[in-house]
Amino acid sequence: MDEIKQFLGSTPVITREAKDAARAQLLQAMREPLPQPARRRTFRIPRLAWRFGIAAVAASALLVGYGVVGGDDQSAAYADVKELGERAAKAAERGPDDAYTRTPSPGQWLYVKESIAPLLAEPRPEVDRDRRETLETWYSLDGKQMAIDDGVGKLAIEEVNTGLKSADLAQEPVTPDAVLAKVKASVAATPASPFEQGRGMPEQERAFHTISTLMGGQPLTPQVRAALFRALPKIDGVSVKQDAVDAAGRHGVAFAYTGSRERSEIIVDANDYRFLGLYGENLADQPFPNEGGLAAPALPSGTAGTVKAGAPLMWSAQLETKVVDKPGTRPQQ
Amino acid sequence: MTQTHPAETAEVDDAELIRWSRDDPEQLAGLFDRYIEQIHRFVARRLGTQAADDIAAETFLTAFRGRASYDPAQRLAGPWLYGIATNLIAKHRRGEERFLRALSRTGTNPLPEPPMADTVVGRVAAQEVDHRLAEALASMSSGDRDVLLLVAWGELTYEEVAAVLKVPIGTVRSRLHRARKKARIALGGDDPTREVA
Repeated sequence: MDEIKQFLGSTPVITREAKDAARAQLLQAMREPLPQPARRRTFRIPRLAWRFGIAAVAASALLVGYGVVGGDDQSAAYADVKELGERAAKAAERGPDDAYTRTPSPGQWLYVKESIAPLLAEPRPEVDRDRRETLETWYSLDGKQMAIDDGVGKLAIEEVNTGLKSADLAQEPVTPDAVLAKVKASVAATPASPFEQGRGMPEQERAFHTISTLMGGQPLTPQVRAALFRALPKIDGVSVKQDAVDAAGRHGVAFAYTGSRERSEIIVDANDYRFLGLYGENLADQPFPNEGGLAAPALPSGTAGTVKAGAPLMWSAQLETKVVDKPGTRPQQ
Repeated sequence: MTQTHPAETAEVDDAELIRWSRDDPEQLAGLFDRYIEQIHRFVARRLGTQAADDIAAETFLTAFRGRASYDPAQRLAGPWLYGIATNLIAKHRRGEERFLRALSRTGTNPLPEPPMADTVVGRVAAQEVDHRLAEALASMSSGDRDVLLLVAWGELTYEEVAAVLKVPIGTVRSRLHRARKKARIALGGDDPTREVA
């Protein structure tokens, strides 16, 4: 036996407690329901739609301290979306990663403060362009849990059931093609929701929405964020929108996907490429399913009304992010 | 290869368990039982037992989530799990290097460990070697260190290392060559990983 093989060979075996805890964690994961995409939940559970609106627009751990990172230049125009992706990726790679140098499981949380346009009137899927709600959310750094004030001062912690999580994307190799493949695999493995089916939403549009959700609602490492920025231009139909406005009125530049029924935007700052928010707009009059209340099952055959062309479906602005020690803690408390 | 692989004595091989787990997720608990101790030990030797508790648990969660992509031609899942653990360890590069630097300075494990009374004498005797090896490991690139420790501690073949790290086998060989050279220099002569035929 050689020295390397013996080196630290007296390291003790796993304790009974740690083993039991790990096994319990695994069994819990096995017993969780199959993951469903955030958008499906949004429309299947309208009463919770505002929450998952948040899930889709929240910040990432990468954005902590991100505002100090300068962009390549100050020019406002981009030749194409590939150029935007490349510049945003480079900025992401320069971002600090100290929020995510530990195993994505226990410990700290990401506090996110944002302004969103609330739903106009349930179960209608469009949001109210004229109103804003300020929302505070905490995300566990592994991306698996979110916590939110339930409106009466009590913190509600929920599992995040989007199919892909930050930990999945951080698995090597972290390249644009690899993360895109994971996104597409997640889309392929998840049946389209009644809403998506009704809209004839193609795979690439669902992939764009999946990345929107990830960028908004999962703490991502710099490498993953950069890979996602470079993956976006690889999706057919993604273009650059030179001037986009978030829900706080801030102007930026957007990755945009224009589908047959809906236009979606991931808005970033034109100078330092930090995430600003999301916007979605309905492009054609469209019936929406009547899915009832909180516990009602999906009823794809029923419709409750029509969403008009031009109606905003999502509008958000991220205002502040900060890593904190526990859910419920606000910065500078 | 003196270690008896857990699956060699079981009736059902790992690939079959993973295949079953696609329809019956809890079958994967069988894989946990077979490998948790060796995966935890591998991580604990690199990062200390406390970090290993989390990373070993995360390794099996990652395996569970990624079970659909497992290559059923690989009857034993050990290399796959070591690969997942290595990728998770990669997020702790700085922690690992701090761990090794502290070890190289003091010759003792810098992280809190359970009592090891029966091993104290042996550890003191081996302190000088540990000191040098820790320094050598800390000074290697993370890629070289991954390959060296997957081969030396995980007992993976070169082909298995290439597959789990997704690098060409030539890269495995060159990384291992560099790593062994550093270790050899640190120990003042013989290749500390060379197998005696």
